[in-house]
Amino acid sequence: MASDSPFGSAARVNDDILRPVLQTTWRFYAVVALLGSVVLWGAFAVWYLLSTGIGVFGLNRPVYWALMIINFVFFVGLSHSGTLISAILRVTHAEWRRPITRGAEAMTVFTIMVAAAFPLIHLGRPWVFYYLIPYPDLRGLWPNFRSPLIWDFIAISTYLTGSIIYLYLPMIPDLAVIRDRSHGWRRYLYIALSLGWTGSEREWSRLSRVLGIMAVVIIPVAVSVHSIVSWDFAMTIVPVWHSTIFAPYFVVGAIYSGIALVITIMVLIRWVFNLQSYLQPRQFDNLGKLLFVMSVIWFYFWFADALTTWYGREPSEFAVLRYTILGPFAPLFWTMIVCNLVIPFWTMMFKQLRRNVLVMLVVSLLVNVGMYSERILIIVPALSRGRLPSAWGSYQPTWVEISITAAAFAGFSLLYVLFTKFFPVVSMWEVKEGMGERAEAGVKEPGTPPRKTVEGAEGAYG
Amino acid sequence: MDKPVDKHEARQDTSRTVLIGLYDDVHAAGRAVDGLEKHGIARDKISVNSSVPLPVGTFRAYTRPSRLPYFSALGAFAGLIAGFSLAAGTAMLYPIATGGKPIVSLPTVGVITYEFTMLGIILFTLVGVLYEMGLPRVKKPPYDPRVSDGCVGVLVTCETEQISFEIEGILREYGAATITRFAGG
Repeated sequence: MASDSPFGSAARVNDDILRPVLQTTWRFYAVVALLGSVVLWGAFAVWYLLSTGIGVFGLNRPVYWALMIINFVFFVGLSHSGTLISAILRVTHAEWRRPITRGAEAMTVFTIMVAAAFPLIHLGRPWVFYYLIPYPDLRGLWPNFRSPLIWDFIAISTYLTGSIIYLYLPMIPDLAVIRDRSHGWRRYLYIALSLGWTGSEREWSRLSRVLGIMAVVIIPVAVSVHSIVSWDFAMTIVPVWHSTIFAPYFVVGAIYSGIALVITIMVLIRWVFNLQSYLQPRQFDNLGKLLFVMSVIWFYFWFADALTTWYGREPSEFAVLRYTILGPFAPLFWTMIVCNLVIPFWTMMFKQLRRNVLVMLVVSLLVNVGMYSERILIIVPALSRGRLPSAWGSYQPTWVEISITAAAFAGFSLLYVLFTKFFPVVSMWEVKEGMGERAEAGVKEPGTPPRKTVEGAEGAYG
Repeated sequence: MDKPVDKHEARQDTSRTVLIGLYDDVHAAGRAVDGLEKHGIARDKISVNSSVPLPVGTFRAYTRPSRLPYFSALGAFAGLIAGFSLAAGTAMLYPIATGGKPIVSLPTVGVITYEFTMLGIILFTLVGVLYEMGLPRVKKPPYDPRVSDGCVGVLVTCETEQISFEIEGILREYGAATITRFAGG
């Protein structure tokens, strides 16, 4: 029935998408070695931190939260969109979602893993991290059960658990396909991971049902996570942080940076794994529209917050705003405005540019440069210009903090590369299902290959 | 998965036999299912394996009601109780008076209760769906790996050997390209 497809048969879809899983080239080892060496350097920096003390960071009074917390907020933000986009597109039955959901869900899992490491590193004494957990307390001092830091711990644990499950469940049918094609120890791995999936009516029926439930549940969890991260700041009385708009502002920024990372990853996957037939300009066109909308919404929230501060002229808040826009952070501020508003706004409004994959790669990378700048501007200027001018200060990161930051980006990339080595980065069954639906609807596209029969182990949904 | 057994092996097995007829067309598979039902084979003896969800309307839908929403609701309730107990209970067990603020603060307890409620839904729904799917399987099920490459398998559980040969004929009549036998289905 589905032979009239732009992709060819089901077996051909399997061949295309499983190629990076079943074939390993020297490039894979080279990339792993490169990223692994950066991660090892970061591990050395962490060891140096633990053995020497937190004085190796550039933290000081008044800037007691800096690069590690900036990285935490940035990576939690990146994690936001993967599962969220996938869930929203599943709930709305957006047809174009099919090739991007898996990659986006994996992105969420790995970014939140990286993010969760930063509060521990930031402590400088990670062996006392259990202060974050509401354990029975006999000393009457710690922990504070009402602290937003406890909310953080619980929210991130919930989101990570939910995101792993939301990644795994729709991957089971594809794991069964790899099981049927692999040999040796990998076959045993996929036999275990696929749980004995056979593709029966009962299994498909229940999978469809559970994905519907999970998608609806994971959306409010995703929103709550970044809201709670924002409340780490907003629940204080630090000037500028103590703002009611922080939760939606953080959520919007998180979705924005997450969409940009989804685009970056999709472009790279398309090129590296030669998946042009699956990740088509149509997908980038739609993601570009989302990026355009989010750039405007993000600016609206930023402007609403800044305007209130500027017009109110409350001295301590105005000092922070002035320090951010006109002080030493001005270059970073204008980088943020250009990368987060000017460039995406003036490029993503044009269809030709949205369908140009190279343009999408550049714009998505710039958006995340802008979002990283925004994270710095939220945290450092507010602490540098407190309510008491006698306690004003500044912050410079040290090589230890920069090394750990570089290792975090490399670590995320390494996890993703390893994921693509062991799991299909495009959801095969969802792609095949879409092909079948289009063929049922009589949608014919050029380049349709001839159909084969059962003897050739092809056909049916091809 | 299971190695197919030949007819001789199947005859030696006194238990049930499962036949898998492979079709390269989902509509042909649908006609085979209809044909089997016309020949008096109960629908619960017939199953269809595919590498994608079956298109709506191709087969008589799988109608057994799902209990998943009950699992989700139970998870929500368990999570709500656990979250509230953890946040409010520990605060009451180890009270820290801070600036005249209440020991049990409902907004803060509410945040933790909310997160635990969602976690409960997620975990119980996972358990529920694995239970309803019958996964993970300990025993190897009758299965043909060619389903992974796009074929549609029509599985029929046969109580006796005599019936299995009749069903094999029906499956072939409706265009099964290959038929595989599994003993002890």
